[in-house]
Amino acid sequence: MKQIFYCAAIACAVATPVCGWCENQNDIAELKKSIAELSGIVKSLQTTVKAQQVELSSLKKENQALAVAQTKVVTERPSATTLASGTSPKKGTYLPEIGMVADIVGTSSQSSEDSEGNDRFSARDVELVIGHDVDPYSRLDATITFSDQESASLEEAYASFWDLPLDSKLRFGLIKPKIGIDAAIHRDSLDTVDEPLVITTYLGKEGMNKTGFDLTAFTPLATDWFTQQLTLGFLDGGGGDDGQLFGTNERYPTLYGKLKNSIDFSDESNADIGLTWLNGNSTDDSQRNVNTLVVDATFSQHISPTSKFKLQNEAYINQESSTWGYYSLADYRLGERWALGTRWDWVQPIDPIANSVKDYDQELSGYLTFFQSEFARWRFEYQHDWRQDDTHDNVLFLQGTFAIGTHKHALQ
Amino acid sequence: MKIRNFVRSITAIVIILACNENANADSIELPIKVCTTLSSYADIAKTIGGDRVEASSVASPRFNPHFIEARPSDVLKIKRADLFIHSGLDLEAWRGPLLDAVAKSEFREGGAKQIDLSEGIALLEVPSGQVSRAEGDIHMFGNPHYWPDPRNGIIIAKHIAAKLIEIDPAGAAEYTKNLNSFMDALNAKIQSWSEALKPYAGKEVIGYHNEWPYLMAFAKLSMTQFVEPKPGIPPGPQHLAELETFIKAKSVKVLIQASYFPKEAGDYLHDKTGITVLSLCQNVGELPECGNYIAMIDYDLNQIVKAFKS
Repeated sequence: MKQIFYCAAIACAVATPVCGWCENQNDIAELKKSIAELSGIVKSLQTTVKAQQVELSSLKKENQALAVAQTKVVTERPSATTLASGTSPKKGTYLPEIGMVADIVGTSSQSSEDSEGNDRFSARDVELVIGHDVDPYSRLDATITFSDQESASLEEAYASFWDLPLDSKLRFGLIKPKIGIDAAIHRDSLDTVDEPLVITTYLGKEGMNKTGFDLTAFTPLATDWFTQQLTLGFLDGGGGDDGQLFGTNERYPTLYGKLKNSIDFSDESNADIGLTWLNGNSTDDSQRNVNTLVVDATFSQHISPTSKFKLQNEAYINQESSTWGYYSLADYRLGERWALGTRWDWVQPIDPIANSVKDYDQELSGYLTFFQSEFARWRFEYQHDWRQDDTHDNVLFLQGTFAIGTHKHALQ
Repeated sequence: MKIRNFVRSITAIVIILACNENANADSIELPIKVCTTLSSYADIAKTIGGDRVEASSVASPRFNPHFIEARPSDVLKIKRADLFIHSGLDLEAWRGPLLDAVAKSEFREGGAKQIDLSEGIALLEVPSGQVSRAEGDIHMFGNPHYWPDPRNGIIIAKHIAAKLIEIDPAGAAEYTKNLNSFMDALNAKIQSWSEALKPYAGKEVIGYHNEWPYLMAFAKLSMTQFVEPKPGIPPGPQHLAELETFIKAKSVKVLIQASYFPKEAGDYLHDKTGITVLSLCQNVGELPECGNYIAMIDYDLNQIVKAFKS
């Protein structure tokens, strides 16, 4: 009996851990079974999705075929003028979009000063514009400028990125920053032959192109008739050619921010009001002493489908030197072919010239534009200048602007 | 047991997330926001979509669709849209810069949230050789003014319905019903328009801009001369004199132009030759009589028939 008891005790001692192991083994087996079942379900679902995709594709094709068939049943289409019936247009290639805009200007001035372009015709700007999508997320645009007055230069070369957070858009590279209105656009898009005086005085002869980046996004305040866009930019320091606002030192970056408010009154009229803030350096150290506010306001009213009136104003207010300047432009597009307008400029230079008798320059311009076609335009402009040293000048411009190839916008 | 529970929990979470993702993919917030380039497409989209769709357009029908100055509000309209519908080809030269400003790849060519309505359209006047602007502002892919042909209206409607069903499968029945109603109404009108136009088949009509070839093809009318000497080039005195001679020689009775083109040249030709100048609609809403797509075609063709009758 005792022996039987010992045997039973030993058997229990041996069997207990074995049973525990058995239970774990059972769990794992059950787990494996569950995983196998789940894998089966996933595979079956994948097969179903594939089958549905095939069916969907076949239905789509059938639908298109039916559409074409039905169109043919309704009435027979005359084929005399059909050169490529039913063919899809040849859609793009890998070649970039290439365009060229030539800006030829003749200038006649009363002034005896022999400055560039005075009393002569010149190919002031011949812009080679190249651009194309880089990949599904970005695009590259570049503008190379040739001139018979200056050596060739790179005006812009930047990549734009989309699908970014907050629905924003990023430009990275050599850009025209979105300062005010006219400083942000190319010469061929100006309403006048030359840039407003406040831009040439403060930013530089052709405004300011700088390497850096800017990010633009709509603010949540936008409605159907009101939109607000915020742009924040970080640029190399320094200004444009002969610009007085910034120094020549490019080491200390320029920061800028712009808030553009747009109001649609109707399909025919709208207004834009912008505030741009510029912060940078005019000295060789890192003082960040330039703080300038640019205020712009534009009102546009279509009188008819082909005629339009525009009133555009910009003011630059520089805190450091307590100087400011502005211009007002009124442009009236009379119809398909003609436009006329006038511009008044008033600027207090940051660096006054020697022998100045007053602290401002003024200009009054009047122009007449003839649109030969969408891609060719002639402009005649008269300008009267009053300078700080009390000298006057009368200047006549004759400008021809011609675009070929692919261009982002027609000259109209 | 712990391992098994852990695996089961993970599996459950994965399945729930997957289901939730599918549910998100299948369901879309109503109304579906559709933004189109032209008002005619917006009207068709609204007709097909009914209450499930809210449609708006970028180009006001008062203006020439070739030259639209897109505003920031247009950029935002597309950014907020569930679907962007456009003409494809090169009608809307402003579409590229506008989409650059929108900065969302799903609305660009080939994107998931856009329809190029030119697909499936039998294009007319596709240039066969070298394209040059010496010929004016010609269209390198073919004439893009295809929507005024009511038969193309059916293709456009089918395109839009298919895309709406794709993004909102729950509304498939309603879209199909609305599509069928639209096609029935348009087909009935096509029959009556064809009957009304039959007596004038082959007659010559003058256009202001070359934007009527598809409507002319449907109406079986001939349009070989235009007030614009070349596409996009405003007329000069010499060309108007040539047209005057042509009108008199061929006894042309009708000149048609979209309402946004200047009236002076037409008035001049009317005074010189007595030709009837018709101001027609290229797009829905251009004139009060063109309140929807079918009404627009009806107005245009009835005006032509009336002019021939008179």
